[in-house]
Amino acid sequence: MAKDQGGEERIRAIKEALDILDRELGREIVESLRSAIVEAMQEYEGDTNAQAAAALAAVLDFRPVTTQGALSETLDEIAGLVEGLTGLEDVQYVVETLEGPRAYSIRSHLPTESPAGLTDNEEAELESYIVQYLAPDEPSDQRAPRGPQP
Amino acid sequence: MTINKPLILKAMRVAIARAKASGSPYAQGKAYELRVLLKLLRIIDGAGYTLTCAPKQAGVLTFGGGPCKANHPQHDFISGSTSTHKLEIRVSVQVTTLSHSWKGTKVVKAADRHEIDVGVYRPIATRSYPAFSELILGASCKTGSWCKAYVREALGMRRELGFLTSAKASSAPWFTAAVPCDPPVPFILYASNAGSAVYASLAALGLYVEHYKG
Repeated sequence: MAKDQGGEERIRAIKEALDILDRELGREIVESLRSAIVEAMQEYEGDTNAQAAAALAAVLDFRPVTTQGALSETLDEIAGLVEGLTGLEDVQYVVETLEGPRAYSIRSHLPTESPAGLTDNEEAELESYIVQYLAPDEPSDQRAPRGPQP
Repeated sequence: MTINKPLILKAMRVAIARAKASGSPYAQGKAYELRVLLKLLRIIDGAGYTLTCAPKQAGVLTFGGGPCKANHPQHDFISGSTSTHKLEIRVSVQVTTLSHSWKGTKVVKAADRHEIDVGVYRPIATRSYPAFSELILGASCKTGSWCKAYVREALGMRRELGFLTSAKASSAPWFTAAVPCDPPVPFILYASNAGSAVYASLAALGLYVEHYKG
């Protein structure tokens, strides 16, 4: 059992926040966040610090928001690297439907704006806590080749 | 560490506001996949490859929206070349597996092929499904909440892409110098969630788990 270094208190704060949001915002979306948090915590039985860090990681990356503007930046960069893609504006995905193959434009399914987020400092504070308790188990060189010796 | 209750509550309010604004989870997942594609293109470009593409439709790239064949007439792919090497970068193409090659049959059933989200291949002829031995590098992309099943899935894919061996010179030296597999094809799991960061030790099996925010 890892020694608690404030993880328990943070887990309590997360639970209190979920209860507040549940009352304010309605059950469905909050339940979805609660499930993501609980699932993330499952892996760290007996380590409240890692559980709190995993819960906060689940909160930070609950649902990503790529906007149409961010998509444009990505496509501009791709076009800058790949000859023949000048004027690249969209990516479409061909999906099978009951009516046959259909092209799905990614741009038309992305929002135009993202709601205000945390400040950089706030985000950095949460991330450094997460990294502290969910640090890579082998931080040296994760690409180092290993495996059985001949 | 000074994380306090108001910051936790604010982070959760932001998470929910973002979830409400994010629209289609499918489109968000594909947007992350494009960030991974861009990341790999930067690496390959940096290794001296000239990258080209001839899209079927001007101004639009077209990929398979789910597991697909390599020779789909509507789908685009990106080619890379140096004076001595050629490669192709494809999205969502399924490869036939190691276990399929052992069966010694040409019939390819659903269990004999798996999707590589972003794959770098040796030039593929017109066959439907390239073999795992034609891969140079494979990447799986996961965004949103973290779940350990992603790692188990990637380990299963790793198993189907070759044998565990002593380290061999990598098929993708611009990504990593050596891979403990035969064939020595690196397989990467890119995940936006910081929960992925604790799985770095799986590099010992030729599975490279990278926390990439995109």
